[in-house]
Amino acid sequence: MSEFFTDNLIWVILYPLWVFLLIGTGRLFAVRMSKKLLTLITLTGSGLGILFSGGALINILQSGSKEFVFTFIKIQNFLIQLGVNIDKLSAVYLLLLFTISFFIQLYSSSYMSREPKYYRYFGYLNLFNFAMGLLLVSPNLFQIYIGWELVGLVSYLLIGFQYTNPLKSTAAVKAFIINRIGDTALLTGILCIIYIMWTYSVSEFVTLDFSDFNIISSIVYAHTNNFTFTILCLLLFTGVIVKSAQFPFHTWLQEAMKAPTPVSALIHSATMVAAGVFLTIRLLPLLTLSKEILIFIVILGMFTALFCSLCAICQNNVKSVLAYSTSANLGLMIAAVGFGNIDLAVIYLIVHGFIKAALFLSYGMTNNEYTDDTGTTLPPSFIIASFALAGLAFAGLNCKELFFETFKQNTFLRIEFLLTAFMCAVYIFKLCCKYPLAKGKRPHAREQISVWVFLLIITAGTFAVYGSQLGFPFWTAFAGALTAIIISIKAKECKEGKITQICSEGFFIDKFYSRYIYSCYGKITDIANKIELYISNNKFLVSFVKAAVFIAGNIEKYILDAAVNLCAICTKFASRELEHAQTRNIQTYIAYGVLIAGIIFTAILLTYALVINSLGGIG
Amino acid sequence: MTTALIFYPTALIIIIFSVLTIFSKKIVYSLISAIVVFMAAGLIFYLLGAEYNAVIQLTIYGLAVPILLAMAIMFTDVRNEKNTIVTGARKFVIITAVLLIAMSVVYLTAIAINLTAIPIFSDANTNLNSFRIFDAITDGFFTSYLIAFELFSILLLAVVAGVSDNAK
Amino acid sequence: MLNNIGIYHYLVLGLILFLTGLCGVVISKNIIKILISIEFMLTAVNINFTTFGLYCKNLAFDGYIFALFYIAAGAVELAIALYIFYAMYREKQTSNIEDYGDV
Repeated sequence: MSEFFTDNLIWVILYPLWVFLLIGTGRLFAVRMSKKLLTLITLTGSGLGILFSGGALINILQSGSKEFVFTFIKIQNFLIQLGVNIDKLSAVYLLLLFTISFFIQLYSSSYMSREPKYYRYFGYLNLFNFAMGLLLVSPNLFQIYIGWELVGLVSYLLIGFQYTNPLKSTAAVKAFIINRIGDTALLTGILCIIYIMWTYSVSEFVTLDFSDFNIISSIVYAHTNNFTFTILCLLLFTGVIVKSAQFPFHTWLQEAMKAPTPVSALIHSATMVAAGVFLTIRLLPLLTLSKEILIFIVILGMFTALFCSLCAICQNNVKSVLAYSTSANLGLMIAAVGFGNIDLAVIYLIVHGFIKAALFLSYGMTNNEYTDDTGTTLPPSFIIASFALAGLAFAGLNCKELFFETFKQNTFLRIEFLLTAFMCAVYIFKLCCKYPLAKGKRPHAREQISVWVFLLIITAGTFAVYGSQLGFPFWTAFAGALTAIIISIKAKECKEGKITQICSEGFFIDKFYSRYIYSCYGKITDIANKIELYISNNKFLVSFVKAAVFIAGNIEKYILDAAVNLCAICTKFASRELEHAQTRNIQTYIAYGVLIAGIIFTAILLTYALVINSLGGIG
Repeated sequence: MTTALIFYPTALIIIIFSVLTIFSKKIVYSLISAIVVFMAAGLIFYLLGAEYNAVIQLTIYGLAVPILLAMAIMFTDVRNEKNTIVTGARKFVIITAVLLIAMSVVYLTAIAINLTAIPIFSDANTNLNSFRIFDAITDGFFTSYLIAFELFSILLLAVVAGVSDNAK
Repeated sequence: MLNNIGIYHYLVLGLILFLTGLCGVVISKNIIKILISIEFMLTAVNINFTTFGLYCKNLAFDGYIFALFYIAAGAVELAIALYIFYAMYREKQTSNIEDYGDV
């Protein structure tokens, strides 16, 4: 029975694309589809996705992974295949994707109900489901790249969803451009691997399939020197860094928070950013061959965790805090992958996805796009979810304990992790204390259902993920929570220090992108100006140029001009003679042209026949 | 035998309707006849084994191009257009030219039937297989005609950009 | 598909279609009809290409590829021609080609 789910998973992944095309073409021909029907179709897609990916997961646990591929492009011995490759990892990811997107679509149907571009919004959500599904089931690097670009595009479209607002459309462009850096690096890496495989592979076809990625890795490692291999891995990993909003490129996630709140929950904290972790796990056979790369991954992940937590503490806007927190937690996941503990990374990915979705959605329940910092209120579910994020209760606590266990060989990492956990509690509880509880407003039932289902899953996760002993992480998080409460009570008396300002600006990395690079450009222009000034002030150079100009002028006058004049005279003469043939009608020209061509053609043909006849025929 | 049964009626349809296209007084009728010609040409492609070409012909010439032309007809005011065929010297010139070319080509065909020794003319590939043809087409696109393919994509892009930029 | 007709029938069909298109280009007055005739000529050329692609064994179906390129080129040509026609039509308000002699 569960075979059925695995075999037909591809239709579930293609279904959102059809819905997207349906919505797109329907809007193109101005067909009015009722909003209810639209929501129903979309929800059916995600619901079937939950069912099928759950069934496929059960099937795979019993009978191992499965792969169906077909050839998309074949050029000599180079194959680009598309298809479905379902193993444990992708099934779990798919289940996460469809569960979160189902409830977020349900939430959106009430959150966006007054939005005039409702259709477009749901079209994008469907496109995102398709793109992410395509990425997750990809059997090779090409399909991952296709999905990678598509999710980037959907992210861009949704950040700039209210494109009439110049702030939001600029943010969309900025996020997209930063994403392009990673895409380019990833593409370059893939092309390098193709080149190496093309040159050295002994097998019949070059496919870059994940099923034989071990062989590919060993071939790549054997035919590159140490330096090249490191560069190659770094190129591939740069894609991961950008998509997962790691240290130098984490600023795009801040820009992404300009999207509607459910989108932030779905794309920018739960699923799309996790694509980086997914790709790291897929590329692990290649990355493990170089020890330096693994160390680099761990250090980068932990550094991002620390750095972004520090930035998050000094933020005031709820969405910015959550964005920095996403970067920090993804850093932890990537560090776990680099450490070799893939299970922990996936578990934390799921738990974090649900917690973040719950946080964002409960923020969206009482606030909309136009609420500023002073008007923000938080519903009770936000506080419950923040307990989980801080690691004080529920599945979050268990995950933090597991992290502490994983880093047991390395004291430095352990301390760093405890610091991160501490700061995580500080920033999230600072928000809880800073903004008042929402009163009087009763959110829509559909919004409440989504949030409470997520909270239920987090609570259930406590029992699914074993290992809670109330160890060090709990107490650090507890201390963090206490600190946050004390800070927020004392906040009115304290003055803001310089460090707070620097932190709240995200250590000026964003400014670096927008300002410093621009000033570099200005400096280059300055230098060019100076060179020009130097040349124009130098007397010898100027007189030399003057002499050259004089000679050139004479040459032009007496030689080139004369030639041009000759041409002109000839043309004038010819045109005067040929003028009589003109009737100013193109069709007449065509007719005469065809006649002349026919005569020439016939003449050639007759000559040819004559020649053949005189030679006595061919053959 | 079946090929012949399909080919001759299709060829007849093509010829009749192409002549109708040119000599019908109303532009809309000529457009409809033109659609018939394009569709029949698609059938000819199918007979020649080029199924992919046939599909492209049907979609582009059977649907997209007539729609474009119909749009253009809708823009223009066709009520006052009465005499759409030229008379006079030009007509004689073109008919002479056409007859000349046709006769010479038929003559060439007549002698070429005797010249069977020309090596590239052989019988049709009898073991045609759609997948093999498709493979050959993709191979051609991505190996020998790669530059042409890229140039064509750039050309299409340029046209889209140019037309959308200028259509104000 | 087994072809027992032979190459010349296809070529003659292409020739007839081409010449019809040529006649249409020269003798019709309506610009849109001229465009249709040009498309006839392109289709005729495509038929010839495809025929040679099928019958010439040493060309490995290159004719089919050329025909595809031609279809793309024809679509582009038509789009541009219609654009130019429309731009001119806005000034002249007529689709008779004899009024456009001073271009």
